[in-house]
Amino acid sequence: MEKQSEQAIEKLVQQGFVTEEQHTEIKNYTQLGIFSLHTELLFLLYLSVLLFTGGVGTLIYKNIDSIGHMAILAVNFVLIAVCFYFSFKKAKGFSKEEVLFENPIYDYVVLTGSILSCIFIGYLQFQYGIFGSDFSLVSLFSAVICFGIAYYFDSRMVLSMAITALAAFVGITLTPKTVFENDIYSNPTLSYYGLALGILLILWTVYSLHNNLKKHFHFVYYTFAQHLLGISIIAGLLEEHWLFFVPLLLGAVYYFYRISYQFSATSFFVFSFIYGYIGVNILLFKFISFVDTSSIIELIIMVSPIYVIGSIVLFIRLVRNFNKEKNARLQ
Amino acid sequence: MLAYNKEKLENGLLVSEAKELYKMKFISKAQLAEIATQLPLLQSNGNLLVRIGFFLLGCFLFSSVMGSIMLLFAPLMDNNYKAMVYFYALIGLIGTELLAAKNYHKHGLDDAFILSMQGAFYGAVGLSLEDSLPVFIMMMVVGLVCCIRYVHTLSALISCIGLVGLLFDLITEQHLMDTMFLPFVGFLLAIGIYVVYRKLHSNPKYNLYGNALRVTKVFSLVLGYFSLNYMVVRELSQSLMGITVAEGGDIPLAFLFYGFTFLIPLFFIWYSVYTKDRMMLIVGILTLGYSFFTIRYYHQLLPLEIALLLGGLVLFSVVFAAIRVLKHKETGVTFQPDRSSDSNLLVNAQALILSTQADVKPMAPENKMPFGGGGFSGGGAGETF
Repeated sequence: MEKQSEQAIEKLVQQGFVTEEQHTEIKNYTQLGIFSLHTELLFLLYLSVLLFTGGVGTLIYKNIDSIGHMAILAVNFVLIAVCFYFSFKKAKGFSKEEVLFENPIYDYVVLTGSILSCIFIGYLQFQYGIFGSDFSLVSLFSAVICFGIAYYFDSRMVLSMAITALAAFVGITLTPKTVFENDIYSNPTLSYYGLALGILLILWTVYSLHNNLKKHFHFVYYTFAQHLLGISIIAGLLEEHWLFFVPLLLGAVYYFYRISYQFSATSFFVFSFIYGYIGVNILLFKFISFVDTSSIIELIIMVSPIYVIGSIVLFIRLVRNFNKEKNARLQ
Repeated sequence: MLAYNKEKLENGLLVSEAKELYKMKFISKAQLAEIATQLPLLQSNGNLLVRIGFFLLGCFLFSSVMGSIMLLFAPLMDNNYKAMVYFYALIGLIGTELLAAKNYHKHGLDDAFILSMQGAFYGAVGLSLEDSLPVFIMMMVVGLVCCIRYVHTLSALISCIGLVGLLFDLITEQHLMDTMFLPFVGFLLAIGIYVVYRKLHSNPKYNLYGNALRVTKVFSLVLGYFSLNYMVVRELSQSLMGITVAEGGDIPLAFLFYGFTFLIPLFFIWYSVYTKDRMMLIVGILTLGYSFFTIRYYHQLLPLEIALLLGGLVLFSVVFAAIRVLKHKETGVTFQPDRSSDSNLLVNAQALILSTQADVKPMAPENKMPFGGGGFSGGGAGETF
């Protein structure tokens, strides 16, 4: 432990916040000199899975139409089989509660198997057109498989793949990279699909929470739902039928505001207001351009600092209330 | 010199230590709540997302103030736009001081104003003197002053960048010495910064500046690595010294730089495990990843997909072996989760990061992009996470 935190702990003891027994316990623990590489090693493992599957994917598609591709495909299939053989052997079976592998390595074996399966399905479609000409069905099929794997092996990583695949099925690319550059902004119908999928995810999460079905998945589901709804509504506000999206914006902000209180989760809180603030500003711009303010544009720029200060004061108040609630739960 | 009440700042340190103890389950929730409510504190945002949100709002505020002032004074200023930028810096200073007086610290708003003020000031110096040297000097000095006065961590980074920029400028533009020495001077400077860090870090007087010192340390490690990294040296000597590398040829002392490109990260990793320094370990892993990228950039011994496959397999086996060795150790370096580690956080983070990496979208026939390789375009860019 660093010298600095030792001094801080001593001060806490002196001021009577931490008892002497606790202090001795802390000292004993410090003497073990534990330096846990848990997080770092798991992250490297994760990275190795991504490198390996990235390599497999590239290899298969570079060798399409060449003689060796059947062999590569067969090897891929064998790899999938090996991954799932070990996973099933070590898994404790399906449970509605959270079940963990004894050795966290198997989480990554499951992940490898799932990514390879998606590659395999995609390839079959590419080469043999098993789903006909409709490519979105591949995504749906991948999503179904990934949902199955995610629920059986209790893997949140595969769950996020499943949700991404489901979004791909309706035509939305869902990655942080695409928040600002998304098909959704040029294709209005996508925002309706996005809305529907987002609401579906929320309904499913509410149902799961009620029925104790993998309750710990709620964070992943809600995060995807929040961003899906956020992007769809913002895109909707920029379109022709924007009035339809105004109540949705208010509803989504309020819903995730409530969720953030329910789970004391700051990320839902912050993002609900980020999307809300962006939405409100879009409406404000719409209003300004609607009343044709070219004559008073200078006045608007002059009073803009007051508007920003006003919103800052509002947000400070909101954050203070949120933190108060969070701290109150600590007690 | 300090803009804040020192006792309140120190209380902030105590509360964050208490939070750490709570996470490690040494003290109860009630104790943490008692500490957090009884000690008088500054206005801070512990959560990074909230802080970034307020930082953005602060930047909006600064730019809207700039806009209205521009309108107000535009008729008076005529061609004095350079003076205007100094005026913006002054507004930033006033805003910063006001926020400090109102006890805003690590809040986001204060970060926005401290950084905007400095940005405006450096811009003003650059515009009025039309030279980069004074800008670097100002970055070094003003960054340091802001770091000390407002206990602002990022300003320490600005100060370090100013120092390195100054040295770089002196050697390449003012020809203080032969450009050939640049890598070694950079490396010595990194060692110098690290020594200063060690001196200040061990002195309890500077506890308040713990984060700023940590940033300085990471900066010195990164600087040390990149001043001797083969790719950096080669690209810089091509653009600064006009050395052209012929087919099959190489830059002078190439073997030395190849060696350092790998020895420095390996040293970081070994030394960090030895001294139990997590920050250095992460820098070591990241720089090692960059070293592999460097090699692949110049020597494509293997096609990309084979490199990825082998890289994945080798990394997997190394990590697998490490986990087997460390799994049952109860003391020292171990694979057992830390008392404070939040496994839920890691799992959620990986789940969300995955959506950026794994591409599950089907490939349309006319598209010849490799499937599943979404995150890896650009030869091993995926080495770093």
